[in-house]
Amino acid sequence: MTADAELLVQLVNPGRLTAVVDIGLGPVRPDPPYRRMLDRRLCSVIALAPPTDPRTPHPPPATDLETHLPYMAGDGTPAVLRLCEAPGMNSLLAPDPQVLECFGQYAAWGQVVAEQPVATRRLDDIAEIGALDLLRIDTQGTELSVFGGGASRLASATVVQTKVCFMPLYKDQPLFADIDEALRAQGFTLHIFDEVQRALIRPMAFHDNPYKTINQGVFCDVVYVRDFTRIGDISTDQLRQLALIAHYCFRSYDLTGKCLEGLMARNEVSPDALGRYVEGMASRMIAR
Amino acid sequence: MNTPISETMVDLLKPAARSAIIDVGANPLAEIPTYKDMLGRGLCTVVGFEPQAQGLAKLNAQKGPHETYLPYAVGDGQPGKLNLCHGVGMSSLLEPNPEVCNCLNVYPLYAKIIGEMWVETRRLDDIAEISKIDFLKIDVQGAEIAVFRGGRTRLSSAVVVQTEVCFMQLYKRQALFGEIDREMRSFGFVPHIFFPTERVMISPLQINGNPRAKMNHAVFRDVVYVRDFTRPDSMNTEQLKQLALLAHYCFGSYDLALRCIGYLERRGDVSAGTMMAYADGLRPR
Repeated sequence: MTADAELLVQLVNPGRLTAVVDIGLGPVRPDPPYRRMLDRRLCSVIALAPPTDPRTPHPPPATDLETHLPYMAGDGTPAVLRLCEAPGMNSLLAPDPQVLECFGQYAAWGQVVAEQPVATRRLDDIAEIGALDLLRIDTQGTELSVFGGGASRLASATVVQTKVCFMPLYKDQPLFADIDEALRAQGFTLHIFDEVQRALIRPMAFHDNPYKTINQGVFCDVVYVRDFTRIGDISTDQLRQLALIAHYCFRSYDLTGKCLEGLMARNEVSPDALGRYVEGMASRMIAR
Repeated sequence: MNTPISETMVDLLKPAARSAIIDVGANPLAEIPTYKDMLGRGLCTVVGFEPQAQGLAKLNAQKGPHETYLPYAVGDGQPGKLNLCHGVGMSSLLEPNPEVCNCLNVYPLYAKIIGEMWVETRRLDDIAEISKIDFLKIDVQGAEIAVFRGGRTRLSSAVVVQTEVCFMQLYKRQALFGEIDREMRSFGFVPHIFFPTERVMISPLQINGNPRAKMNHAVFRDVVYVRDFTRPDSMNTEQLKQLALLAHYCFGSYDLALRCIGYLERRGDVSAGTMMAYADGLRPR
């Protein structure tokens, strides 16, 4: 543990590990943002994914802080998992050939090769989940039903990292506006919205590089956080967790500072917490 | 990839008229507009708006043969109060929202109201100087929806809209990206380009005392919408031609231009071989 890490944890004094839930349809995506917290043993992780695609076996958890559960998160009703030519396209929704046909190799990637019935579980009903502070989700279009089935737990979460889509690659897929509305209704605001992943519009093709794109945006990983402009609506425990997650997972040191300011105003941390944090961070405060 | 000479593409597609570009927004002199190259080639007309006399005089002094600038504020047709802010780009028909701005560095200064001006607003559909809209570029600091709804008829034939979208309510009652996205889709558009996000630092932290330093927090970005090219039946021949031309000249979206030309060729609206001729023109020489 670095001196800086000890400093923030000391200042914030969370009293427990940060609770991460990572929901996907396959193995945990590489380089999760909570890696730096795991390395410092500051969080526990529950990863949820159905075990149904034999092409993408899940490696066992690397540490004792990680738990993998073979559950498909959703609204609690039975569903059909579509296994696609490209496992990354697997979804509970049916790919939309009319849209996929417009983009690069998406039509081939989105060919359904098998369909399997799966039970879905509401996030609120999964007993193995204790607290939820950071939710990371990439379920190819069923994010809204996961949020709907996890409303109670989402109400206490402080950060949600989700994929949002701008083109309906699947039939009846909720797009950015739908996800944005659902998360804002739960008290979140958009925090990080960087590079949008692009696709080449067919029939253009670059033979020297099949992955080359021009402008068309298709999807993006975005990060929502508790709306810090209404800090009175954020509980003390949430401010502690948001301070830690913003710092370790996203290097949003300014947001950590805002949380420390809020905690100081409530006398929940020492009155010099922000000053000590800034001092400890001086060498890392590099603007992007 | 070389940009083919302008005449080639216009000769290939034979559009009925020059592309009609409408620029609604704060201070068109402040940035290089995406249509600058197209305007320089004489391939489009531009109608812009500047309600402040001084700004209008400046625009008129510098304009070229295909540009028209009008002294109107564009909106819902009702009189409105233009809040003039310390940050020139912050001036808006909406009132700045201190509750949000005060959580950010530098925005409390930008949002400081230094004056106000009562303006008549005109609906896009009611402005006689506009004959048609192919490309609407808009930057009106939160008042976008009123402009779209006042231009419903003309927007129904437009093929490109470039708009700023915001992720936090810098102004009271401001429509955010989600609401604008729904509105655009209801007009038959889909997002095409996401320009880089403008970020800001959340207060009170600063880096080296620089209030303009940035971290992660996203405030706004420009998004280009285009008519939904996954449903080409929703576009007539002239719309497909205009979309191809604007995609090509304003945004370098050669893939979108090629797709539009493909639809035109399949309909028999351009001669056989046009797609190949366009693609050949894109090859490096």
